[in-house]
Amino acid sequence: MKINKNINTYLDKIKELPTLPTIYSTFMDVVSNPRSTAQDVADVISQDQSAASKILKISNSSIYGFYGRISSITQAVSFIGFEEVKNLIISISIMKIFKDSKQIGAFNPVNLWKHSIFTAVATRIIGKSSGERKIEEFFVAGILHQIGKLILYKIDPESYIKTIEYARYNNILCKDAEQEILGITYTVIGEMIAEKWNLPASVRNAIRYHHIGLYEGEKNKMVAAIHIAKILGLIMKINSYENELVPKPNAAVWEILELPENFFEINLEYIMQSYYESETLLLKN
Amino acid sequence: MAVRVNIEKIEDGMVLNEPVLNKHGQILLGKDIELKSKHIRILKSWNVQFVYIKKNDVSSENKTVISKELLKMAVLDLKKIIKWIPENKYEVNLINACVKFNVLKSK
Repeated sequence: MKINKNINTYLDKIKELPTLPTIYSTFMDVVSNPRSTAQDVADVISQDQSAASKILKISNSSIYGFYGRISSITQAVSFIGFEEVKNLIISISIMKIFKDSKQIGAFNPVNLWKHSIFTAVATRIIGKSSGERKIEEFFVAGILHQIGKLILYKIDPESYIKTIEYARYNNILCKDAEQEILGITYTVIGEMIAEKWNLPASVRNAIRYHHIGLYEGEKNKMVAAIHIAKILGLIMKINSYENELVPKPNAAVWEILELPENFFEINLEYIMQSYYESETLLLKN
Repeated sequence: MAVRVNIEKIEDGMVLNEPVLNKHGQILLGKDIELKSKHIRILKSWNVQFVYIKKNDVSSENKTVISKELLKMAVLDLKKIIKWIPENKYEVNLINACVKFNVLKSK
């Protein structure tokens, strides 16, 4: 059952997909100006009330741990930093673009976002435990790691549902079914859209290579952390569709992360609590 | 054995399994300290997000004895979506933690 082998069809369709909302480009202009203050940045964010309120709630959540002590966007920018705020804006903006995607058949976009939020939260916690200090991009990369699935679904919902049904029926990984049926995988198309949106190279690489867990053989902790976070989410059945098969972890990833032997036993409850909290914050309007 | 506990979930009397450090590696509170409300207040003011607590001190839920039958069912359930065998200590810990969490949740 092959539906589409022509990659150009997808490339053309990607051109038609929306760009990131104005708030993102205005925000980037202000941030790249060395004279900008936290107040200037806050002014831009405050123009989008729904984004502003989400950033405020997330800053006060266990992800950043300020627990109700941040009461204004200016404070959020100063406390959690430009980079973190920028990445939250990317996440919120992209989720907004796809907020109207409806469930058809076996594929429910809300479940896909739940899996993405879980992966984002777990990626950050795994990243911290692996000793990585620069973890600002871990959350956004987790949120976007399977954006390609939504793109494939948006371009041709019927074919994508058939692909998922094929994966379930034959008990194979979603990515393998995509390659077989559509001739393209969500990781490849995800990288394409990330390029169109000018997302940082590290995030593009995470989208493209998280399924392997390695980026061109480099010891990249972000790619490795997403690889494990995603597998953890699938085992916990926080998946894009029912009975989604769990890929085997790449053994090399464990060496990159150097996690404590009992990492999951110690941290799973904490990861789940943080996930439930973030899911409520990000998915509720 | 230790368990990571969110600062909001800490209760009086829990005992630290590991010292609490600041980002410069300095010890803020030492190992084996029994936490009182004043410690919890201080930890919050230092913006500490979680601590490692001795497992016996974590509330009743984790002390629950898991029946073999429930464990077996949880493992069988996972076998529907996991077609590989855990090959190293990390993978064993990953699967065991998930099975245990799901069994405790279903109780």
